[in-house]
Amino acid sequence: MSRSRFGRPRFGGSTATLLSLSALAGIVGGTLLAWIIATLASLPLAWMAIFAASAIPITASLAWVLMVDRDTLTGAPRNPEDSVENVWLHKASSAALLDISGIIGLTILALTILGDRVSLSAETALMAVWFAGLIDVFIRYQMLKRRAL
Amino acid sequence: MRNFLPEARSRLGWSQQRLADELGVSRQTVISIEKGRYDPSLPVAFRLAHTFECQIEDLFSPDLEP
Repeated sequence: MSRSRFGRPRFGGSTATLLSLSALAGIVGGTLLAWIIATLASLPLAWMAIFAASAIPITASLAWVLMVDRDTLTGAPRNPEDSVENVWLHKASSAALLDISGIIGLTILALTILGDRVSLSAETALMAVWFAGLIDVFIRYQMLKRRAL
Repeated sequence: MRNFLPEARSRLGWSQQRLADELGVSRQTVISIEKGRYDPSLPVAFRLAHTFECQIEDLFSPDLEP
């Protein structure tokens, strides 16, 4: 089976088909997402355009991930579940979950002690937890990789 | 766990990448196993034994030193 950098779709076809469909799905998905948010929050058209431009690369990448047949990608191992990277990711994720639990617990304690002196919106808190989780997994993964190689 | 993977691999004159391709895993997996920093799963151990036409015990032995 021939392989390429961007692979081919799961349902058959060429790399060009996959990239075209990913781009189309990305444009439709990103624009739709921007329209929904702009409509619900009554935001101006310029904001919607900026949001769509930012979201399209992400939605297009997501569409590619969902549609690509990984066996057609150059350098993709046949058994990724048996590779050491899979173990690193699981270890990093498990450790990060404990870290985040601890961080949330300490933050709740701090907010309880500080009372009304500090206010934290739900959006800010959730975004902070999300970022902390991602960064934690990334750092722990890199540490495991460095230790093993 | 001690392993004799580098010796078995060099007997065949294979690179780490070649062995990784045979096993269907990443090259980093082979490096980690050879350095003794990753104990492979049972399916990988069986595939290694099959690849080198030997028993798993010929490739891996428990590190019994205290």
